[in-house]
Parts: sequence; structure tokens; C-alpha cells
Amino acid sequence: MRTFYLIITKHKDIFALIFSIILSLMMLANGDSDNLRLLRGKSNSIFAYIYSPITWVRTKALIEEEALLLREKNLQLTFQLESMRHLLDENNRLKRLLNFKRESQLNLYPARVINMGASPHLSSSLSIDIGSNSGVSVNDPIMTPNGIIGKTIIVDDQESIVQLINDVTFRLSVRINPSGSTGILRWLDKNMYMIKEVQKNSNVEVGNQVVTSGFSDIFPSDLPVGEVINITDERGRFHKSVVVKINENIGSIMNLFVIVE
Amino acid sequence: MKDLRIWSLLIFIFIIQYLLSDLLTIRYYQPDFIVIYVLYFGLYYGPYYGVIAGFSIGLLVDLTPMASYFGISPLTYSLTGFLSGHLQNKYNRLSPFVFHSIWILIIGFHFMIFTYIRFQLLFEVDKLQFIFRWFASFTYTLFFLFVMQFFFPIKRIHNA
Repeated sequence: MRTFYLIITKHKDIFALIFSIILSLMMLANGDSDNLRLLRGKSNSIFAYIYSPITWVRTKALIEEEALLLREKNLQLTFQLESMRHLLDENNRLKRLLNFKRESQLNLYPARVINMGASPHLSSSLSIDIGSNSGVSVNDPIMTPNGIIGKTIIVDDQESIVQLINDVTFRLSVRINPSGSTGILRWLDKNMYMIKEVQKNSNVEVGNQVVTSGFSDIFPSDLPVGEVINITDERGRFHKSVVVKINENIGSIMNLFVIVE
Repeated sequence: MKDLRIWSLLIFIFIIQYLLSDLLTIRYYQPDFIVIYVLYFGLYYGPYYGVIAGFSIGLLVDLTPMASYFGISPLTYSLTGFLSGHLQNKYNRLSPFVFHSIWILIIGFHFMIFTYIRFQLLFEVDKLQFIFRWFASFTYTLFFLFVMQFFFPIKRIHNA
């Protein structure tokens, strides 16, 4: 017994190692036992409590990081939404143009605006992406589904320059329906136009539709132009002045039609 | 006073291991500061206390949420404590190269057993990947051990 005790004392490190290895292997073998799970569960809750300040700091850091990511994502989505809105608008506009072309009896050529204010000699003009190669010639009327907006003045092979209806030198012979009074339409201010040569005795009212008269060699008759918004009848003058608002927003035109003979 | 220093150092190492290892994780490899502590402890107090310390610390480590298999840490740390304990008083007897090679091998052996038990299936399926994991975790901890040599060189442990 004493010898055994002496051996253990002499080699206590080896016995301690063997004992610890056996215990460790037993723990490894019984790792799934209920008692060990319970023990680990309890210890986990203690460590979780100790770790809570670190968790708090890390959570805060994560939240800040997440907020940054969300802000970026929000910005991206806003851009995407704007782009989709723009595409929807464009789609609707093109659909409208397509329907107009289908229903119209005129010989229409679709065109895209490539530049605004293209001519230095005109106060209001634009360039379109079709020219003589597509059958366009000088003085071809330009219109949108909402009405006449100008005419071609310079035509190249691939592109043309359009004088817009709000150019100061642009004149358009128009008829006011249903009275049938005729006159010359010219730009007044912003999107307002004036017809000066309307006879005094003509029965013109606010809300009357203004269309092309057909007297011109350029513009066919009965194409929509705008709507009467004001009538001025001054004493001592031989004509009435009729203010017309055209239906198209000239500044935002992107697609239009050229009426080709 | 000496005991207090040992215990406070253990608590400090434990906190470092528990709180900072996440921050120092590279992919799934974490440095093991506790094995460094056990190595120094074994060298200082000898194999018997090295085994006891390794086993106790291992048990404590396995109770933390970062442990995987329960029992793996007492096994590996007690082996490391035992082997490093046998290096006690050997620095002057062995050549420095042999002495340093042995403690590096002890650390390597520690990670070999640890990686084997933890990734048994990987050992069966992809031995190369297994060796890579062992080597990566081993060298990562070894890097910290080498850094420690500038502040607390192993040869300066008075019993070594």
C-alpha cells in the first residue's frame, strides 16, 4: 500500500493527467446528457449577463451600420422609383402617340426631340432626329396629339430644325369653332397666344376650340391648336383680341410627329 | 500575493479570450490566449499543477457559450499543461533551438487534438482542408505567442 502511495506521489503528474484525460473523455462521451445541457444552459445565462455590455456596444455599432446601409438603400430605391416613374410617364406618352398615329388620317412620321433651342435665329426652336432621308421637307407641320406646335424650317439628311409655335415670328392661320371666325395666331406670353384679326360681330366665347383654318399652304385644316381663355373687345378697334391657351406644354416635348405630304 | 497575481492574470486572459476573440476572428480562426496562459503556467509550476490548471481552465472554457464539444478543452489544456510542465528547468539544459522547438510543437499538438475532435468529419472527408484548418489556427495563436516573446520571453520564466 505504501509502495503504491509512493508511486502515486512520485508520478502524481502522470496520474493527474490520466485522471483528467479520463474525465475529459467521459465528458466528451456524455456531451448530450441532460445534466450537462442544464449546466451549460445555466453557465450560458451567467456569461450572457457578463457579456451584456459588450453585446450592447456591438448591437449599437450594428444598428448604426445597419442605419447607414438602410440610408444608402433608401437613396438607391428613391433613384429607382424616380427612374420607374419616368419610364411610366414615357410609356404613357408613347402609348398616346401610338394611338394618335393609328387613329389619324394624316401621313405622320414619329420623331424624337434631340435638342432644344437649336437655331440661333429663332427665339424658340428644337431639333428632331429625322430629316430628308425620312421624307421630311421644309415647312412640314409638326404636331403632337394635343395639337400643332410648329413647322420644319431647316431640313438635313438625318435631322431637322423646327420653329416652334411660341417663336415670336411664328404665325398660324386658325379658326375658332363653332363660330368659324378666323384669324392669325401668334405667341403672346408663356403658354398664351393671341388672335387679333377676329371680327367684332363674331360670336366667340371662352372655352371655344381653336383649330387650323386650312387657308395656309402649310397646315391642313381642322388640326387642334388650343382653347379660348379670354376675349378683349376694345371700343374704337375693328377687331376683337382673343387669347388662346394651347394644349401642349412646349418646354417638355420629347416626342412629336411630322406631317409629311 | 503571488497567487493573487496568477488568478488575476487568469481572469484577465479569460476576459480577453471571451470578449476580444470575436474581434480578432479571421474567417473562423480565433487566437487562443488561454493556451498561451496554460503553457506559461506549466513552465512556471511544473506538470502536476499544469495538468490541474489546464483541466480547470478547460472546464471553465467549455462552460462558456463559445465552446463546442464539452470536454474538449479540459483534455487539450491539461495535455498542454502537462507537456509544458515537463519543459520546466530545461532551458539551461537544452539548446535554445530545441527548447523553443519543443514548446512550439506542444502548441501544435494542442491544436492538432483540438482540430481533430472538432472537425472529425472533415478529417475523414478532406484531409488537406483539415490540415489547413489546424495549421491556420495554430499559426494564428503562434503569432501572438511570438509577439509575447518581446514582452514576456519564455526563457525568462525563472524555472524554465
